[in-house]
Amino acid sequence: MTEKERKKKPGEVSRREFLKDAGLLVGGTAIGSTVLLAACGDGETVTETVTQKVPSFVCPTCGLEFDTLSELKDHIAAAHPAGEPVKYAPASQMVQVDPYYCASCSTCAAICSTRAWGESNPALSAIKITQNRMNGEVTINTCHQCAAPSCMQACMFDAMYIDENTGARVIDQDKCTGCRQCQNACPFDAVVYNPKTNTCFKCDLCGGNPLCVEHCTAGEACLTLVNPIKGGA
Amino acid sequence: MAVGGYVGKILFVNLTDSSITTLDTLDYTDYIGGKGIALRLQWEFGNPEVEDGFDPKSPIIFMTGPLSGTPVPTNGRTLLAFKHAAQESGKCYWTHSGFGGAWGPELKFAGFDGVVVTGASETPVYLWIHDGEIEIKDASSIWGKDTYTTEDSIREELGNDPGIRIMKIGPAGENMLRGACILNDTCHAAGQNGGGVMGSKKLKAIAVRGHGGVPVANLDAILADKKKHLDIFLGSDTRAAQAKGRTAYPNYKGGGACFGCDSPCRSFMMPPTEPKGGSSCGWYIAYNWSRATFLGMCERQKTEYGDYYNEPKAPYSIDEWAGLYAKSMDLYGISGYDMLGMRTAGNWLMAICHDPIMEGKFLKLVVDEMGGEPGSIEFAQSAPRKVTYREGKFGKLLAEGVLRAAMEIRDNPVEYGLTAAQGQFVWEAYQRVYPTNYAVEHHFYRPSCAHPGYDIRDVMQSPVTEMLMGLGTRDTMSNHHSFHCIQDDIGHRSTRAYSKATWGSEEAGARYLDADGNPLLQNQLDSPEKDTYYTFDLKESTPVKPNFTVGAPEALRISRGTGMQTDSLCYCDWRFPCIAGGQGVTNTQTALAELGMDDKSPWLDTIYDPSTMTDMGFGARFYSAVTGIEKTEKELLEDGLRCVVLERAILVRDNNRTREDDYFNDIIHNRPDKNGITIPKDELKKGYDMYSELMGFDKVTGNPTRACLEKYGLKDVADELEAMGRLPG
Repeated sequence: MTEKERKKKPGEVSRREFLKDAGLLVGGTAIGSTVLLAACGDGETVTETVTQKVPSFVCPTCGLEFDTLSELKDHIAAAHPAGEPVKYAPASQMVQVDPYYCASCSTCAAICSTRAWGESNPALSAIKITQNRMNGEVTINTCHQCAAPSCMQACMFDAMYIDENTGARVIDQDKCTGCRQCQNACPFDAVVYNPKTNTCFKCDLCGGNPLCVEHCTAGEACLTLVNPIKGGA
Repeated sequence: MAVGGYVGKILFVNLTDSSITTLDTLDYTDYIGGKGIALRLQWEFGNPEVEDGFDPKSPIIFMTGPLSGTPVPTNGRTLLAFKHAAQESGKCYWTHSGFGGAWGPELKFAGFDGVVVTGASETPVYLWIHDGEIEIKDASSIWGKDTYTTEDSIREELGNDPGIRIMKIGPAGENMLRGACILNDTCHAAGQNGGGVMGSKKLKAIAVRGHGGVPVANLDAILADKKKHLDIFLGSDTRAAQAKGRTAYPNYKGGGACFGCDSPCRSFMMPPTEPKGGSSCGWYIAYNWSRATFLGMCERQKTEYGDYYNEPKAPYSIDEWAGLYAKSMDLYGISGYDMLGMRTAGNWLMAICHDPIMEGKFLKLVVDEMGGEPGSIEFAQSAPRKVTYREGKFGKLLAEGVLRAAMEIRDNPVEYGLTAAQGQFVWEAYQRVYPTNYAVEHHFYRPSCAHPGYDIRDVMQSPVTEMLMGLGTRDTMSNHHSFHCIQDDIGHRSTRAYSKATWGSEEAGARYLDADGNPLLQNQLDSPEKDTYYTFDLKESTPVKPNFTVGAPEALRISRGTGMQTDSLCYCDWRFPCIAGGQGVTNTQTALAELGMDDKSPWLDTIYDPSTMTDMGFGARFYSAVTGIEKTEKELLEDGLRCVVLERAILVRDNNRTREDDYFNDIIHNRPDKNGITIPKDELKKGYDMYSELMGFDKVTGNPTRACLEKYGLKDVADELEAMGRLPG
């Protein structure tokens, strides 16, 4: 669906421009809302002027906006009965990677696994660095915080939830049964399985301040916290 | 008690009978890890009767430290320890080396803190260590292969998992060359002839892979200090690079950063063309210094030492010559030979060839044997093969190392068509190029080698550094990152505040004493605008002798302990002092511009900014945070000193070392530095006397007494030395 253009009145700021200018201040929640509106709204609404708080969660089906995930869930349960396709609100943040700038020091993986498990173990990290030792090529796997996460859809045990503050898709360690369906479903190889705890684990954005980003050797060149839709902070 | 840092087991492999056992790491935590634990293992399992590291009974030890594989910055170093094989016959000391990369951390993820290999296999083998298991595998098909092919072949055989880390030797190690090194990944190397020792055991490689973890007690405490690193010092590289529109780590090639490193040296050491194998820092130096050589930086040295460098010959331009030269240096990496050592060997040959006393005979000999004169492309390209396979008279000579080569020519000059006087000159030239008996602390400080134009006596501002050199055990041909620890920094940071923070007193950093024996503090000597290591602008007083006695003995004690602590934690011994000393803004670009070199050079360097100076306690803080064993800076220093004492005890047991062996060649004593000051032997002796007293060593022998050993819980060591009749007093 494409956006319709109309002539602006003097002093009016389009929603898209507002979001662009606002940048980091309003963060990803606003951008996410825009795209969802474009996806399930009627096109006309996209260019509305935004003058008040941007809500965090938008109904993927009808475009109504809510402040919390629970409100959104309640709305979906009431307004859109079972049988409709399951969709989720996009996350407000994700860790964006650029392997070109990666020094392959694995600091991010050491910190991530230590925070999660109390032991430094890149094999159990939610961010995975792989370098071809012969030609230096680096690949980095971490969660894209997908708008419609296949990991959540694959979970049979209601063990995944969306963090209300960050929008991160999180595996509840208490509910996870270690069936690894989420791991199999992930197209980005971003879910890890810990055989000791028999649970799966993925990037939870450290509750809003990802340590991998904070301590990345290459600084903002390699790891950045961005809005998943806009693709840049 | 320990809850983190160690994974619990040390592998013990005997290749003679293929037996494999394990030791409990927690039995050795008094020795921290890394070099410290290796020392204790050497004491328990080393055989004092072996002559050198080529004896199958002499173990080679690979150790990680408690910080290896954790989120602590710069923890990727692996410590190797073994008896040397290249030093003077009968005096091959127990020594150590190390490489970066991620082999050590991966070993811990595989469930082991270290590996001890002893005995020797009859057929070539390699070790495959993975997730708590070890296999001794046949290496017949890869024996004879270069380091690059070996990496490829083993990885393919083990299933092409990119996470496998492989350290291996090349033909140089297999042929037991006395300068052979060990390569890890494709750009990390450990010298000190560990490659020859592996070759003597028919051990081609050790591959590791693990999916386990290293327990960490307190992540928050680690991150608090780590953040300071990144903000204060290590970010400066990135920021400086970004200011110039590029990142410090663009499209990393050649193996990547060491595990956990937040300031990867390779990022600013990578020359424009990519090296194929070998140590990338060695390659970087080879490339850049060979390039700088033609820009007038080595004029002074030409007059002092003779004609070391040739002009580039047509049709080569400077860049082409440097590129060709560097490529030929790369052949050493592929062969598994210490390229920096060989570069210095070339300088030694140059110093001989062009001296009138040799009457051109030596030059003709070298040209006939090697296909070109030292310094030429022809020589550089033919030498790696001839040395690796011991081809011809000079190939055989250099394969045994420069020391032995010089001794051979000195003792048998006629065989080389020389007179006795000319043979003696060859020996003296060796002493000029290698003025100390043990490792000089840094590549750049080796006269005639890496840093054209600077003499060792001018570069090292601190007498403490000189005293450290006399106590070393590493080969003269090598550099010693650990020496670089504090003393190097204080050399080129040379501020009173830094001296006080790291050595306990401002006086310790003073290079000279005046006529009344008072130390001349650095700000009286140095121009305040130029806080760099080459500046000696005397302002107020006249120096009369170097300062070995005021503050310096205590500084030596602290440096020995801190250096040992760094090597035992397996913290990066190159980055450690920089982190302690703080950093500043990039200056190399300016220097390059002055030299007429382009601004696209890969060099990125920094100069000191006093405001970024941190403290020396972060080593203890990281140790406490990782292990959960709370230790203060002072307590960890004492642990380091325990290892220093044990190291000396090993040298006493295995080599009967005494103060007689702690010395410099005469050139160090006879040659004045820029300010006309020489090192009087009696002043050096006074300094060592005071150091011995501080350490609890016997002044006559410089060796630990029973009281000293027992103070550090080494009663069994004292008993054994006493039984051998080697306990002083």
